[in-house]
Amino acid sequence: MPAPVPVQDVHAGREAFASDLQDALKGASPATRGWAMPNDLTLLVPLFSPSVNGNSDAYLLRLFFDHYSNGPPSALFVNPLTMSYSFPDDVMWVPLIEGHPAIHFHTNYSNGGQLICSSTTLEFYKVNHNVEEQNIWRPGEMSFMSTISAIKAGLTLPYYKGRSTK
Amino acid sequence: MNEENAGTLEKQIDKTGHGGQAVTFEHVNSLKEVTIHAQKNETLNELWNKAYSELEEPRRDGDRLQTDAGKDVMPYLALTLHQLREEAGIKTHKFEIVGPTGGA
Repeated sequence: MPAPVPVQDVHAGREAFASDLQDALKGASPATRGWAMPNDLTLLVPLFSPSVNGNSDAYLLRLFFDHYSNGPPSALFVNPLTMSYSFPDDVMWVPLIEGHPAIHFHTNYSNGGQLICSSTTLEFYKVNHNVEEQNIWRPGEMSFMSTISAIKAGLTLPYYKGRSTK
Repeated sequence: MNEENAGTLEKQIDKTGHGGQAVTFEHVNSLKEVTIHAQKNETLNELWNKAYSELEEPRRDGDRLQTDAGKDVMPYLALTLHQLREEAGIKTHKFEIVGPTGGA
């Protein structure tokens, strides 16, 4: 059954993100992890596909924290030039994966745009996706690192198939 | 183990000063991190259990272990770090403890 859609609270989101970011970085700057913060509600995370024939593909994950940590961060793969996602122009910036049991990347889910289909993303709840009780986001017990880790798991072999084309 | 790898492993063991190879576990839900000094014969599962103890976190149903690049290592829990490298081609010494998630 679907889980409730988390409530937006920008002030709480900003504070929870700042606190969790500090814990995740352990005193270091976001740049030490290769991350960037264009503002205090947004985190940009570069991710790389596994190497196939010696080449890796680069992707840019944009996390947004306006519902955090009542709910998980919003998570989208974005065009690194525009920092946004527009279907169908930007589908190549979304990884194509097949067969992972816990995550999938949709370029245009039900004609509503991109969906990183994981219980660790806000959009998953906004589309009222079915979810098992044990997988529902648990405020205070989970962090944005849970989101990044779940997405990285999708970007591994044998699931990764290249860039999306449609 | 060939001589080159054996030498590399010995250097890593010596560098820690703790008689073991440094292995880092990050508990991504709690954002806690711990470094364990692994002995040659310790399996990944034994190291994982040590990490929970050091982190003072319970092992929850559905918890999984993956590399810092996201590679699932649950099929390899019975291997030592050396076996993990030689048999599964996984060279990293950084792992993430992740809770259950759903989707797809």
